[in-house]
Amino acid sequence: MSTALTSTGVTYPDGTTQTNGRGTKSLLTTLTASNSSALQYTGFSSSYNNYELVISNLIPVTNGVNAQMQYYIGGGYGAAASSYYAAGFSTYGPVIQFATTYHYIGGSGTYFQLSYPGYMTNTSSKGLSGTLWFWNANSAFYKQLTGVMAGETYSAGYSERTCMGTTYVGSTAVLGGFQVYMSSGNISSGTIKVYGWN
Amino acid sequence: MATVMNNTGIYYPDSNYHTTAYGNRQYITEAVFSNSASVGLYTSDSYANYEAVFSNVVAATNATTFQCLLDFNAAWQSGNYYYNAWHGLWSNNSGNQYGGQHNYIPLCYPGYFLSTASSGLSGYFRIYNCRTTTQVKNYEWMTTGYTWTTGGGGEHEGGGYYNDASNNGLAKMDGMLFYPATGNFLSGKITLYGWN
Repeated sequence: MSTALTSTGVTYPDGTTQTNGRGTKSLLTTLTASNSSALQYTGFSSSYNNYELVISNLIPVTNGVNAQMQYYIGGGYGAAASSYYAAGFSTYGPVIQFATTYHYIGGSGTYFQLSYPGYMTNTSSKGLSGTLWFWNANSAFYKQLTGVMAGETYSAGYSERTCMGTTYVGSTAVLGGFQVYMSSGNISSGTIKVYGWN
Repeated sequence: MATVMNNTGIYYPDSNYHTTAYGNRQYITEAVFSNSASVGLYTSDSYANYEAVFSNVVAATNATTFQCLLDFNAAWQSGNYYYNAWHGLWSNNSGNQYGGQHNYIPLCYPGYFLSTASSGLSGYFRIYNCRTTTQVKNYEWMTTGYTWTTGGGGEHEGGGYYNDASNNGLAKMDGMLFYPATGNFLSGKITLYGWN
């Protein structure tokens, strides 16, 4: 059986069908750090309403820092006081039990954290990875993000998992993009793949 | 290079190719709210896995709970047999973890689904292998929004499964009912996708 275009979509040789383009992610760009002050993207558009960022092995130049994010909204990177309502939670492993090894990373600030403060190492074989989702980016509502990050990032050598949800209340303008940067120093290496979908 | 369709799939100009629809999420339907009551979104044998995406879903009645029921054997199951493990986190650096049986799936912390028109809840609910007739259906969710009643952000995350003494949870899962515990949905939308 060949691949076929039909009146209802695409039929593949294995018999599976694709009936529409919604739900399928499209890679928009890959941002690559090389001793970079920030990884920035301002290419969100009306073509996609939701965005997914896949972050791979983000490593800081400076030891003992953390990754942070700001939205690009209203023509600039949102940095007003108390504009990011962030709720997050970091847990650590593999040795210590959950009950005694977690941190909340919530706050109301000019940015939000992608990892627990001070727990990223600059060890080249480690780094921070995970997935972040921007929801309803073209709406006239507050812009919201959920995500999960993980890595060998604990300064004492343990693994870390951080989950988060953030609502930006500084504006209800269309979301144009984002920047990721370290709390101190540059980003040594790592990539962010940006996908759009509807 | 042009887009090419041959007997192995579709090849795109950027040298990527699709040889199957497996793995691709596909849009199924969308419910847009305007002071709307509950919405049922239904499954079929076309897809094994489903994702409902919430886009700034706002409650008409303040301080209620965003909830979900599952349809097994032609009934929205409302018994105390949803086995849930979940947490709620707040932007004041605190949170709560919960586990136990409920008669619904809590998509946010109880009472934290607000009528704040500029925010609402966004995120997803996913359920896996939901057309099998031999195993319970596992689900997970993650939502966020301006949900803390005293003024802040919240993140809600959890997972679980449904089953009862009659083993209804082993049947095909035919649908998801999304509703506020009290009142209607003021605005927002829920979009359903399926994938294999």
